[in-house]
Amino acid sequence: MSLEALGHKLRDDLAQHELTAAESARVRQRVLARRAGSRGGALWRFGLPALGAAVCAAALWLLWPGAQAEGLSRFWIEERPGQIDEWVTARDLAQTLRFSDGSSFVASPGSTTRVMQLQADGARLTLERGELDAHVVHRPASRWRVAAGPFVVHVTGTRFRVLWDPQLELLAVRVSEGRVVVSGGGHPEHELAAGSGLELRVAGKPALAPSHEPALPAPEPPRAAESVRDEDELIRPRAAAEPALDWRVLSTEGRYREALASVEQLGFVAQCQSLPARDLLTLGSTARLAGRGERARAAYLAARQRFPRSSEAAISAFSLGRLASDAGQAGAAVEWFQRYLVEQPGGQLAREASGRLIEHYKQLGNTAQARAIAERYLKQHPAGPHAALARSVLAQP
Amino acid sequence: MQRMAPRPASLTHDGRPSEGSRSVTFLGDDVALIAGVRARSEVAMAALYDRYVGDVRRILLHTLGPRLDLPDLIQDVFVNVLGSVHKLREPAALRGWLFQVTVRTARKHLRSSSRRWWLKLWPNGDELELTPASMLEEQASDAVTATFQILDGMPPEERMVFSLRYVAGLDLAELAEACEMSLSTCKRRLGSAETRFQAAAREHDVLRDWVEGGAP
Repeated sequence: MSLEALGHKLRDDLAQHELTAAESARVRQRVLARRAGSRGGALWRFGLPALGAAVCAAALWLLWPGAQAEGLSRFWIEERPGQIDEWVTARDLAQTLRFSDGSSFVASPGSTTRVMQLQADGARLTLERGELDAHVVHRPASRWRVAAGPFVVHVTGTRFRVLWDPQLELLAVRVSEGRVVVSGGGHPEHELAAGSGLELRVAGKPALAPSHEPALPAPEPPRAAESVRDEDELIRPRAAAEPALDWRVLSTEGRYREALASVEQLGFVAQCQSLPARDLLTLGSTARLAGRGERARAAYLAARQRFPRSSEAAISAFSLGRLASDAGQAGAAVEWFQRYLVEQPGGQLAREASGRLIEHYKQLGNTAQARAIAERYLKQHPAGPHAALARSVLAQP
Repeated sequence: MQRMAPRPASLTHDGRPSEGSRSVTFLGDDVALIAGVRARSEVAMAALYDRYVGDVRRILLHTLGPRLDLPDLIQDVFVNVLGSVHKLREPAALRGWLFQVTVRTARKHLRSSSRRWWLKLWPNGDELELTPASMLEEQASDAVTATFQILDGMPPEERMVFSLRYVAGLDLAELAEACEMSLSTCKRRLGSAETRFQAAAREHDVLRDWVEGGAP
């Protein structure tokens, strides 16, 4: 019976994860566009000859000398035109980015990338995570760059693969034609020729080896993690690592108290002063879920102090508001949620922050502020999880 | 599977206005709707989306948890449904069939994720970007976060039956139909999933009280 009760609770909690009206409208539009563009029977009857002609035309385009001399002015994601700064996420299938100079980048399934800049002599891409298989057409003075975390791969004309694992802060590059230069991450520049590969970690980053993951690289000491390797070594399945009791792994497994105890052993204050911003957020969540509100607060405050104006600082403000709210400190909660909205007025937690402000202003008896925010909330999020509360606030005399 | 009375496509199963801003009112029942879709009526296709997007969203959300790529998965379901609607032998059974397609989509997603070992390096799934993922985590309740952490570690088949039974709230007959398995197989798999989930939940700070003695 307790599983049934938990199920009820989960359904209630998940009800807040509604699609927004805009998201739903976008999906609907895409579904209908896909159906309009795929008339199965018509394709076989009439479309196949046209498809053949299109393939011939594409082949002619690729072989025609003038086509490759077009230069770099646009790109396509699969068959549609791409936009600068557009996120490209390959889910189950690879996604190909083709550029007008004949260069192409194939994002493997599970990868996320985007084109940040397009210039006559090259493009700048960011690999957020995953793997890109690149073929850059060599032209005089061409300049392509792939940024991955703190690293940059500089390319003049080549075929290479680059993998970026943001969790491990691990970059792997292997070159099959031409050459690339890898820089950043606290390392000196590395020039790689055809047939060589390189695996780099961010300097000073300790190895992170989740104990539940059987295929992780073996732990390596800081700074000694740098090595130039045979390219086959880079794609070989990695040896299983010794189980590591990293606090982040314990937290991921829901062992919050053990995770926090592990951080305490390392020195909680010292960790707050040295961990990167994202880890401080994780530490805050871990401490909160372990029931240690004061530790959570310290971690979030450290994130705000050490990384001001970052998105993590804003998320910390929201989290501090939630902590204050849980502790029944409505006044403090209001301050933190307001601060989040000041720092990230269009942020992804803005709807939640606004909703919580309505709750707390109402709780504090500040009807004027509650009504003002409720009005704004309903304009921006008419179907949001706090819409009913907002309407009830406005309905009161 | 529970049969629903025909209703305007502009309303969801909750009776709320559907989520699309340009919803279509289609007054026919599911049989008429399928006839329209098969005749390539765009109005019927739009109406099918409006009528069932709420159900599809809920099944995906309840089986996979809060995710940034939820709209993409919903799109996959409807593209599959509209592309294979000719295979539906009994138009009146549209809702049950749509549930099956949705469950298949979720299952396929789980299996493909589990095959890609290196994607497990990201704790909350394979499509989540770093900052938005942490925002989702902040938005989710502790119970939701904890439950899906455990479900992420379960075999996909067990995870599906467990989440459809307890998170989505399907009864056993609905569950067997949605998962396209016999009632006995369904019960056996559910039993195994319950045991596995309860064992993990007892070790979990947030869920221990739920499995040991009801709500905390």
